[in-house]
Amino acid sequence: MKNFAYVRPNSVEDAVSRATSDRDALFIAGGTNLVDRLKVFLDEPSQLLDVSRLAMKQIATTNEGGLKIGALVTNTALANNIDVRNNYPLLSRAILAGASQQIRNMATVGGNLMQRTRCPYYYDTAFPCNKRQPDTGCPAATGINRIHAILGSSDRCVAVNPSDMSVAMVALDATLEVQGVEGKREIPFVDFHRLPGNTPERDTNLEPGELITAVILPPVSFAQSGVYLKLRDRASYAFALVSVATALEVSGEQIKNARIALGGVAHKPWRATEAEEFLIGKAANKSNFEQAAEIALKDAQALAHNGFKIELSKRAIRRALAVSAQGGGEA
Amino acid sequence: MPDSLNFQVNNQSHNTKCNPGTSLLSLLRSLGYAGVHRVCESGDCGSCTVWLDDKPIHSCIYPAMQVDSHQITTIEGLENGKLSPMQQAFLDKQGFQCGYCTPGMIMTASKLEYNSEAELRAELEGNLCRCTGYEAIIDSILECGNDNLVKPITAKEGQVGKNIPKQDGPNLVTGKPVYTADWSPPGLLHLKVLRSPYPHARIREINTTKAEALEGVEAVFTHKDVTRRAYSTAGHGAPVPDPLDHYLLDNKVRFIGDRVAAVVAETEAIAAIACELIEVDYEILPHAIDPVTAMKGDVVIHDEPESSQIHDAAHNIAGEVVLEKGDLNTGFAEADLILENTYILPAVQHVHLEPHVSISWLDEDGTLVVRSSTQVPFHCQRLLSELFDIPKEKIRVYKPQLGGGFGNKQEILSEDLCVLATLKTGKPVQWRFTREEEFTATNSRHAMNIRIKTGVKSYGTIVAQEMEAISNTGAYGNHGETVTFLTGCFPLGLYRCANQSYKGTVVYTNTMPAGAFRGYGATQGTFAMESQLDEIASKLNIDPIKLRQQNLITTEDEILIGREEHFHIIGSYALDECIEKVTQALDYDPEKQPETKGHIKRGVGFAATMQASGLAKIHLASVKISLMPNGQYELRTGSVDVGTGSDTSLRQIAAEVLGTTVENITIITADTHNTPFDAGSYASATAFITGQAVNLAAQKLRSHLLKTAAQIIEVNTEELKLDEAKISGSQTTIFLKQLAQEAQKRGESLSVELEHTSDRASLTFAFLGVEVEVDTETGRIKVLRCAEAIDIGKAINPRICHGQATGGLVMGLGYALAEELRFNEQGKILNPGLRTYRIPAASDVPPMEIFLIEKADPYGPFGAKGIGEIGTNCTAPAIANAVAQATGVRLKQLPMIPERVWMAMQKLE
Repeated sequence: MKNFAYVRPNSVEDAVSRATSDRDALFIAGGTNLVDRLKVFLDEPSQLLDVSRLAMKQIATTNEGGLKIGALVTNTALANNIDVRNNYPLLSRAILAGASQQIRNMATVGGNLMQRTRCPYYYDTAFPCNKRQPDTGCPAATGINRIHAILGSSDRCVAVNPSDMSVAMVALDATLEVQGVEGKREIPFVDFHRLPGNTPERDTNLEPGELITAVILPPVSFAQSGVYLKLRDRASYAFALVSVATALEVSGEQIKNARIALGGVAHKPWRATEAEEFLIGKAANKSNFEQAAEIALKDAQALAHNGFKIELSKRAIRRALAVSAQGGGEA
Repeated sequence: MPDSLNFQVNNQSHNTKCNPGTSLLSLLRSLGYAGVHRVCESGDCGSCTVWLDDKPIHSCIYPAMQVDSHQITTIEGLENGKLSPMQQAFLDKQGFQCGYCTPGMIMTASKLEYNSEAELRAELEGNLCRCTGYEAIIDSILECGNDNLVKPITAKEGQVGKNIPKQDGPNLVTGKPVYTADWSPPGLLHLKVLRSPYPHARIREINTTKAEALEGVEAVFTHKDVTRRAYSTAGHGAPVPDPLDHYLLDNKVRFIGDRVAAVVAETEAIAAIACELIEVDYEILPHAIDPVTAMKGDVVIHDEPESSQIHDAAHNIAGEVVLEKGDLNTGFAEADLILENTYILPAVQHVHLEPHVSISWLDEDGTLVVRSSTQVPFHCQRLLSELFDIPKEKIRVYKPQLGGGFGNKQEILSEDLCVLATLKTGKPVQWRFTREEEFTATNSRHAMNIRIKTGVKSYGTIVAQEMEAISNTGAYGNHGETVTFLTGCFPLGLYRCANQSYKGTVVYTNTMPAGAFRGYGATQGTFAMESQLDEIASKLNIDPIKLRQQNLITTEDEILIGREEHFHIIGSYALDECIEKVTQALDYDPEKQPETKGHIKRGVGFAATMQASGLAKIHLASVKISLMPNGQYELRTGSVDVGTGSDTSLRQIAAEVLGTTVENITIITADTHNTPFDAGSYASATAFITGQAVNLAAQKLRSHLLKTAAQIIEVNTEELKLDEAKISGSQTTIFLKQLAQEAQKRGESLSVELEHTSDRASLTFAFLGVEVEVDTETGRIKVLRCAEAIDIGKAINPRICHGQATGGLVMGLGYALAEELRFNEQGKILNPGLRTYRIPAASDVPPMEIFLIEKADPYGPFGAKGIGEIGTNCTAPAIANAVAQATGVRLKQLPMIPERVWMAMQKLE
């Protein structure tokens, strides 16, 4: 337990420069996940850099016809934005499927993408954890792991990314705009989160000191067909056991374009590219959806307690695709 | 860092400094906004909801440092000369019980936008309530803005049987500082406990030097500082039936979370840091977390000679219950079908929103005062007196408003170390449990494995029942044997059968102790028995309702199993009517095939249960009722309103007898120095036993008043009538105020004090039916609707009874579908928070139809029986039975989470 300072940088540049010179500093915006972690001493920062008052709260139409979403837009504002609801209904649904009104009022887009796993072993400092302290071990791999990863895990970490929003973002081919001391750069969303590999302590490909400033959504002509299906232990306020985001462009009988992304199954929001490619040119029918689901999960590996998630994911993909094929809506 | 924070709360400017680690919740409470309630501290329950610039947020996860230049509104800011429309709606529709979630609920609800009830329920997901089952809350919100003028109920209309508003309502909807932690004497110190990281270890050495040296630390206590005296944390009357196996602080720890040492410091934060500075050398011992392993005796959890009343310490058996009737062999020999199953029940937690919290100090005259959130102030006083060798009259224990208990506050968990610290330091001390401590270091419902073997005739008559329960009592045996007794006694007793046996084995393990929890063992046994009956019905191809009707006890039967000293009796019986109501409400047709639509299957299921009203001959209630000089009455009772509304119901009983209204009766409760003894509020006893004490005392006072009036105005008692204001004869009248003053002059007391125990604990019966939908692709169970009828004798206050029923049902829903404490191989609880251990939210709750069947009981006040616990018992078995009807899959393990359902279906295929 150590004390930390609280600083309110006056610009993005100021924030980034402070974070670059002090590697123990952390940004805070809505704080809905960070405060949780501070309370159990998962993070022990030297200072909190409060970026919540910086000017990154706009949602603007891009020249390409997409949207540029400031990193400080709250979940509530984003889910209720008229352009998002009309053009990216999948994103709106994914956001509303997560957390509570009170949390969505505080949580920001940038923070949501930075939230860390809810693996109980990571959260409890009484356990070793490679993500918390590299090279100490992963008790989840052999412990109670029903909520853990079935795709892309390593022997060092089997945690999953908890964000609903990220699943929608990866399905929509979003791009992140980030700023470091050297200036701005863009990161395709699909490359933003990392697989655990040998460095599970790193969730993302942000460089030290970098700050997410915006998310850019390209126009997606068939986004109306978007579906977000979240399967969880209860009706409300739970992290996904499995979630699926899908969208389909169907012309006549034939699939022209497909998006399939999975949440709750891996260390990052999981884009099922191979399954998407399989569907292109095929008929939008049950048997093709079944095969796509098989392809999406073909590399899945079960731990002791999460085997059910493999079959559950397949069923969820089939169901979501079937709804997307009908033009989208609630699955 | 900004020098200071400038912000507004309820339009009042504040300028303050605070530590960067402070939450807005802590800051607001320190500024006196006590209506902001501390519950989960993780943004999961909504009890601390305030508006930040008009938007609801969880103040517990909002850093206070960010509040600069913002506008905060708390519950205290909603009133503007009168209640806000939402506060008024909650008051009118009584959208609360204990009130602990209420301010947050109102703050969230005031800002909700919704188009339908379903949307409203979904939008309310950030606010949890454990008492109401949400029905009254949803009604309140839906009615907000409608003009629902509630007419007061007059004395002429009578008070019993009427929906008199819970009298604490105005305090609760406005967030008044009425709970234990909302007030403390000046100079308060805070206590924190260092808890064991090991499931089983002996403390070789413990060094507190560094902790003591920390600035702000007042004292550190270890086992070396206390007298070694075994006791039970269970709140039972003396002589306690429980093993005496717990110590204030011990040289041995028996579960992860067990007490190691206590620190008293100026702030909670300093105390917490000091705990980390205590150096402990543990001798780690082998441990057992599974009862079957524990019974082998390779590990002995209670090897200390000072502990007593343990059944077989060498095999970790805390207690054993054996009940027998008839002859099993004969019974099974007669049977056409013998069915044997094992049912597995998890440990679950109470999740009363207000945590355990106690404050103790020494009064000017040296009296030790304990202000505590307890269901059992008198048992607590007795235990403290024994532990610290202080005469009872020198210890005052009282409770302010309670924010829920559900049995977990029928334990003495936080008072003892507080008192130790006050006695050693001479200063006021508070100990408040964190939510994590609630989950890891209080009590759970007993996890059990229950095996039942049933013999039946082909036409459905039960001829033999053998039941065996292995009950995991955790590291300490509090409530173990009594809970496990009810596991067999009620479910077996409900069905007529000549040959029965029950064996309950209460086993110590190195896990958090189990204790008292609404339903008290009957809940577990009911799941097993009611599941078993449907299995039999299905095997014999008999309608499960018919099978039950054929075997249920009736008024002609004596209860076949149980212990004589418990004296359960069928005082009144309306279970047949309950069954009729429920089957009608669900349009039940035994011939109807379950529906299937794609991957969705539907089914209906039922369950019956019974639960006693208090403990016969044991549960003692004394009350005192007086006519005061102002012409109004005062009722003093030692009973505790846990949040249920019993303080209102008790006044209704008195008011009915005295021909007045509840407004004319002041109530003083649960204070060992100011109220007569009451065993406390547990075992569904308050209405039945304390209520009857009030009834009898009020009757006695009534006669006494009439007699006194007769003497004063010199007429015959027979011709006098008592009403709200006066006693009148045909010619003369004396006002109650006059009467009181006249009596005072004559030195006569217009006061009756009376003690009551019941010779019989009348049984309450209940019957529940549910319709469910099973998604065969995901295993998800959705309860579509349910109907429950409770054979309650008489509803003193129907709305309050209704709230007990819906609240119990939804608590049962959590047990059925979601809740489970998950332990790792060390016995460490892996889900000690409201995000990972989730209780039902409004959107999880189906429409509920409740029938209160009134057939007066001869032993209860106005015919009333207990209703506090029974509602919890039927939900899980009724759902399991409905799932079996829908899918053919029999789920024998709770909770019925989707993956279990789904895997069971896979197996069937």
